[in-house]
Amino acid sequence: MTALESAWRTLSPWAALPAALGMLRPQALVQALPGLVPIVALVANVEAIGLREVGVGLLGLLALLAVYAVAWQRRFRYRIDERSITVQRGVLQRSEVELGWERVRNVDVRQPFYFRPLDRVALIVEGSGGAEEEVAIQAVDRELAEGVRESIASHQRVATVVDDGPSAATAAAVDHAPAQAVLHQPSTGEILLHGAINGRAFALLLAGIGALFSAGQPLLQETDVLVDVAETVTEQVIALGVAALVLAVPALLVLSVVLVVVSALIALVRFHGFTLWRDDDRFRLRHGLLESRERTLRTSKLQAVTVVETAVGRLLGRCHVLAHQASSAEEGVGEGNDGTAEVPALTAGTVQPLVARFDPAYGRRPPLAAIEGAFLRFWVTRLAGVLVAVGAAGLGALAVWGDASTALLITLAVLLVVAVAAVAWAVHRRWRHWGWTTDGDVAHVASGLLGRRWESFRLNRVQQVTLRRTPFQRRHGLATLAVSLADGDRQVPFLHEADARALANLALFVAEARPHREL
Amino acid sequence: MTDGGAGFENAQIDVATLPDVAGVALEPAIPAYPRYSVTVHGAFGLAATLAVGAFVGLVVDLRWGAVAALAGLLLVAVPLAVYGRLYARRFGWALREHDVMTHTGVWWRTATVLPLVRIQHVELASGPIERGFGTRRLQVFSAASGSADLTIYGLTPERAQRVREHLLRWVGEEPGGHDGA
Repeated sequence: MTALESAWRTLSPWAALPAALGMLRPQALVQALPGLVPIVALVANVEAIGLREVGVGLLGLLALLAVYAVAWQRRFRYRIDERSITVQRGVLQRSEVELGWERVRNVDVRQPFYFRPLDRVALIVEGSGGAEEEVAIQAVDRELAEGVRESIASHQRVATVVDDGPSAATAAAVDHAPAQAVLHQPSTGEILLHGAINGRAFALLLAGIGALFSAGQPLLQETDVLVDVAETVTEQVIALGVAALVLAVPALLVLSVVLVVVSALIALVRFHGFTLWRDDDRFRLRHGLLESRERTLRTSKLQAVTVVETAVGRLLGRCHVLAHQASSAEEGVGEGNDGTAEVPALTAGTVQPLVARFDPAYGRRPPLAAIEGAFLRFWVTRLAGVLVAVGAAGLGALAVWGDASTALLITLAVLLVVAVAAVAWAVHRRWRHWGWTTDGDVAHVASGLLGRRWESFRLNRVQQVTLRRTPFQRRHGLATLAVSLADGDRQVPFLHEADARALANLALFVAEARPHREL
Repeated sequence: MTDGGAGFENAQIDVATLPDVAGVALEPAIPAYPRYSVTVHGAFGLAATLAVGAFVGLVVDLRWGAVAALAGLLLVAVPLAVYGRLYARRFGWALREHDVMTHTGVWWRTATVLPLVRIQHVELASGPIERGFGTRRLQVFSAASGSADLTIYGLTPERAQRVREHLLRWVGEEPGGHDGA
């Protein structure tokens, strides 16, 4: 570790590169959209502006970006001493941020691919005050970054010793993951499989279906052959339906396969070389293909741990773990910046021992209590009721004014019954997956529809407790309990009121009698 | 937190003996608060009704505009004012030795409890209409979210100041650091 001097330092000239690239991020471009729209409109409407002018304009814009990035790099100053980091930044509007080690929530050492030949890294120090308190030092020597991280770790270790007694203090200066401390290191194949089944493909598919239908609409309108043979409205509906199915089913199949592959590749880029290891009172994660990231996860700052099993993952006995740290609203932007660390590619056999390393009590899977059956009644009657009402009204209208054949009406009625049965099945499945229990001062909450999430957290981290009762719940003596942790709310719906009160009382007792103070 | 289970304690807690969040005697808002709530909700409903009436009157016919305004008055403004009164009368709050709680809602009832050790900061707030009615509100924030976690409505200025000072004493305090209220 390099001795940390308190002199002001400047950034390496290479730091201008990520600064310039940062201005070309999609989020930055979206923010610049209001300014770009009139320029694009001008370019499109003024005939004197051709491709050459547009090219020159773009080059000029890039030159301006480069000048700004260099100015930003040259005006950036930072000072690191034994207890804090101070940063002066900004080109026109200057600001100074001082972040004491005691307020540091996470230290992130990242190495984008363009820093690898230079062996330089980006040091990201996150404070507990959110984005305002985040300090990023670009293109620093790895040795300095490791030194800062060790200095912060040592400081916080001492603070923990003061809080928890001497048992927490052990010396550990780890530059690389020691083999015996490695907790999880999935192979490339396992990461690809994780990407294929982690549910991201499904989200992409839903977005794709929307795009497909809007893109396919003109195509359907062009299917004159099918429309021409159908003379009545009913026949047109059938013809369009058949055309949509003929076009959509193979397209959806191809799209699904493509998206699963894309999702697997995204996972590979994100989690390539994933290594999770224990380093004294904290965990470290290193992963990334294009940008190698190294994150620190302090056990004392863990708010909750979630085991996620997607629908396909359940079939294959695969899952992943989310370790939640406190986050603020400003930090929700960008993957991996929301305080949650993902541990991918786990199996039914490896997940519990790993979760137990985060907290021994989280490793147990006590039997869960179900939520009240009124959940089923409430949602089935309402969802199925709406479906039946809308469906019956549609069928009635079709029968009276639509000139529909009996066969079509029967088919639609059967489809309606199937839809109602599907809704009832989905509600039942959701109800069956809800579960909760307490194990000492640890709460476990499970939920899900096709997949399942099992969340565990200590009640001494509860920030606030809320009991909600809708008119239906009041009539049936029920309540929904929500407990707020520093990283978000967890709720259990449709509890018997006495159970909800007992759980609220317990959460408040633990939070008030022996609260965990670190966020 | 320990590793591998060494030193892990898991003593059973008798849940039945814990202080209950139910059955706490709640303090109502001051009498001026329901009047304020009726005024604000009613004025909002009235403004919306008049806007719709004016729009219909200008676009369709003056008579239909008057009908729309009357219907809006009966169907929107009056129910909103009634809701405002019910909301204010059902609102209650309590300060316990270790937490502060509020009960809100007319149809959807919510009881929120915030442990005093979790308080990050406290804000005393009031708008011009609230000040006109002599009522203040106290917003209590924890680390749980960016918005106010708990708001106590309908306090007199003096009482709001006293409660604020009491709550502020807990900011950064350890449990058991105070004797209570």
